[in-house]
Amino acid sequence: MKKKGYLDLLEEVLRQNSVSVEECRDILEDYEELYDGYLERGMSDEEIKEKLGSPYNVVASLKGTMHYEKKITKPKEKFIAVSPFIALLIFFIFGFGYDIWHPTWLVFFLIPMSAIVFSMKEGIWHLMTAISPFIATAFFILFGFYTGVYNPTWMVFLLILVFAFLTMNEKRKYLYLGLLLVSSALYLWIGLAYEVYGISLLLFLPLLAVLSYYGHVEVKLIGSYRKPIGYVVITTLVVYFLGGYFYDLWDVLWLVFLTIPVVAIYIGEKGRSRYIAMTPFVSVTIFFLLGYFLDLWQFSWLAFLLIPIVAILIGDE
Amino acid sequence: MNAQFKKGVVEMCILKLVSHRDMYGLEVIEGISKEIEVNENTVYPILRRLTVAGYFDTYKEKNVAGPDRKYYKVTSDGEAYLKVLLKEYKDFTARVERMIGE
Repeated sequence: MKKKGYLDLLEEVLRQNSVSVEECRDILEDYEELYDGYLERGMSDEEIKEKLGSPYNVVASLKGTMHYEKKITKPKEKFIAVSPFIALLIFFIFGFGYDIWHPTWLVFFLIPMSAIVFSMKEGIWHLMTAISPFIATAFFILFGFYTGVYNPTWMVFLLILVFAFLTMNEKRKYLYLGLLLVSSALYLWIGLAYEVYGISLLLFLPLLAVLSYYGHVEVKLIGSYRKPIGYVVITTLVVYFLGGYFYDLWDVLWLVFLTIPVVAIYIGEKGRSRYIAMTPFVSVTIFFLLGYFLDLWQFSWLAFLLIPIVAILIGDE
Repeated sequence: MNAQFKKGVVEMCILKLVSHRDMYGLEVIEGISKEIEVNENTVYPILRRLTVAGYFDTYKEKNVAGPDRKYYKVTSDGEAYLKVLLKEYKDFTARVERMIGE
């Protein structure tokens, strides 16, 4: 583990322990200074790591000398903590009681949604952007499941774009919103009137071109990890539309979109916490595939147990 | 040596060491380790605790070989605290010496 890896892990452990931002920066600066001091004395990275001790031990030894972030208020914390049980209870009632395992499993979205709603400090549009993927997915699956109309129901995912535009601090966002609205309306009209959906996707090209021109496609919507995520988005869209169009797999191929947050987490998160953050998406995939193809809804919910198991195994390491 | 007892003694030694001249973190660690077997995870938390308690002031100084260094300087409160610690320690060791010397 080199210096950056060591300091990144130290930062992660400090953050896990809710150490205040200022204190965290102070400690990291001190440990960087110590690390550099040993490098100047000709020690290897392994020797320095041995000298300084593991970041977990460092943070343990500092307990009592640090200030901690104010914790979120209790009722919110309690709701986040009990949300998995509420979701499971609803899932069992509808599953065992009425044999509606699918799409009742969508109540598991309550878990990440409650965590986002109660812990996000940014404005309303940021909050909506964060929870809109869950709302859109839930609507897409519910509407698709009961009507069989997955196309053009997928357009509900465009809501994510709408909210993302609204978070922008510039006047051009109304241009983007206008273009999105016009493209969507035309796409919908051509689709409904002439049953043509494939080629009319080109109607969204002007919006993409304008967003690319102003450098917003990647920056605002998918963070600073432009290229890898950009490729993943394009690949998933291609897979989704090809699989849907040629094999009519609209109702299962939405799962490919989960690779977008998974890749974003892999790139954006440091250390082992990335695997904890990815687990909900893996669980949803296992759960849905077992339920959809083998009709094992009453057992496949066990896949969600992966979330606490991974968190405990990796988090306490 | 009992860990708590050692921590108390190391705290006093750190204050004494830095009272001679301002030092940066690694210098303190090396200075203490010459005489007492300690590691970074003993010394650094003490430096932080003494700073938070107001017994040390810190300031940054340029370092040509790398990033700036944080220097520790004993405050007047720190000097007073050191005097108390030294007196307590000397009284204590004198009593212990009398007992075990019999």
